[in-house]
Amino acid sequence: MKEEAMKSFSSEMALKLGNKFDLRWDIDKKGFVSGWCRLMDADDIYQVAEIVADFKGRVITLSALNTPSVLNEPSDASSKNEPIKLVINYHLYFDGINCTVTITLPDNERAVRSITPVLISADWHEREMQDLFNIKLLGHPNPKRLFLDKDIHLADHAMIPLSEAMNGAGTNTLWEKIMRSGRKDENTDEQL
Amino acid sequence: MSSYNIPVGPIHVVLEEPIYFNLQVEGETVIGVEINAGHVHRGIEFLTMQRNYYQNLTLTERVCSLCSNNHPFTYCMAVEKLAGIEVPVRGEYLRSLADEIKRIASHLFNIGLHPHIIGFDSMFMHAMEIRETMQDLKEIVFGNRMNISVNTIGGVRYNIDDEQAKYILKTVNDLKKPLVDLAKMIKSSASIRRRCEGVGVLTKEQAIKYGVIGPVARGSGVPYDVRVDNPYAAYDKIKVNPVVEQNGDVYSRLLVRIGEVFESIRIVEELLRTLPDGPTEYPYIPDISVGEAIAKSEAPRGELIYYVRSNGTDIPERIKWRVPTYQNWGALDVMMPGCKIADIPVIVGSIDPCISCTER
Repeated sequence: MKEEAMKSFSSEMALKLGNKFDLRWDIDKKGFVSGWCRLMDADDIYQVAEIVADFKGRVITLSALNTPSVLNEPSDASSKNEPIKLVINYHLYFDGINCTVTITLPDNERAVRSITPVLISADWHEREMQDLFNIKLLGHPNPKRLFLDKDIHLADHAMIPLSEAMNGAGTNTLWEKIMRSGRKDENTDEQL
Repeated sequence: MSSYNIPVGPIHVVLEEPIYFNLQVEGETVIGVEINAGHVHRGIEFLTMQRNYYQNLTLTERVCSLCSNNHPFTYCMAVEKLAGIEVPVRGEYLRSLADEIKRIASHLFNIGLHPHIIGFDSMFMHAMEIRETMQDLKEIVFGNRMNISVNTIGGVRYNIDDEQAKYILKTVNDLKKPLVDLAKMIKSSASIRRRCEGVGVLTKEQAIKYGVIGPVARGSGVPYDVRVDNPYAAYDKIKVNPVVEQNGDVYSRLLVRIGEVFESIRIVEELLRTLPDGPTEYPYIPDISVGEAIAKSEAPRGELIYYVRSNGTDIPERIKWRVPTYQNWGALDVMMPGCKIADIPVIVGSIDPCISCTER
């Protein structure tokens, strides 16, 4: 069954994307299949999501990488001066097989097309990525903050102190904020 | 009837950990839910990228208390793939053994949590008393009640002799009768069934769509279990029978966990009966070569995945993991609308949430 799924996924990909991708499969001794796929064009991830949705598959997780080193070349300190390059790994699962689809965002771009409209299991992962990596989601049905308070200003690669991320909870800050806000809209969560 | 919003959390009497629900209610019925997380975000993922591969064993063990064993376990499997080494068969069996012992303790906690949430505290105490046997077992065999710290890159750091094997077998065997009684009591308790049956329903189609995993998926008729579908450690040699229920409500998820405790006991017995001799770990400290790998395991709450990327140094370039609870939160969007305000805690409890895990 796993071989069939691998074959039909490869052929679907070739049908939709032509030769704009590169796919290999790793199978370990116990039969654990992990595919590694690289897309030439970042926007094609939406079509891959549609294929996975047809297979009744799901997103396991996303992992964003900030300027990763090139794996087949020795890394050196000078590579730290390279321009920022954002890479996103989509870890997908369907029919018993795991597949990691990698896209690289074009230089100086911090936005990606959301796949949540076709794969709802990507919802939280995409929003987390937006919070923590400042990568904007295009076409996400509910692109609200997930982990960070909405008052925190997002900057690229900023470190946010825990007390700020927690909105000052546990210190006097939260209480002072409530006192400042007065009695209006006491019951709405907007003030908390 | 007018609709209004009520906040539940981040600090709330029935939530042991902080998370914030903004619920839209109409009268007493919930019509929508919005979740805001991040209150216990500790930045462990970032920390793992500042520590070397061995320091991370200790760190990943502390992501979660109840599935503490699965984190270093899965992390080790990913690193072993990068290093291209194989764990000795006895090491794999001992890994699975520790895993199942943790699973029994974790499930019993959640089985007790359900009666606790609905106010049946004597049943909660009863379940916790049974669970205490497993805590004692962990303390005696591994030296600690929660963070048992058995995994290392290339194998396990503990070994058991015949006497310990006999002790484990006797303990799990003695557990059977009280467990049968507990299961009978839960199944015949009108108050538990009234509060759990038909509440927080997630259909099979929705379970597949939202990509839920673990007992939440199996309670909705999706038989997915990593131990069966993507075997690891000793699970390619030991048969695992996934426990599946069809109704998709809180009660089904509770029954799945009860069934899995019995299944885990059977697996522990089989592991000990067929435990092979030999070394327990890889004899050298391996070189972690350049590359990337993923590994998965079935934690008590469901599928756990680790992604590790190495650039050839002794500090990983990227580690990312996704805990089972993370995926299950989204399904609350389906489970909650239509329920009464009083049912909210028991629905949240039924996904066995781990908030520290979710936010890392």
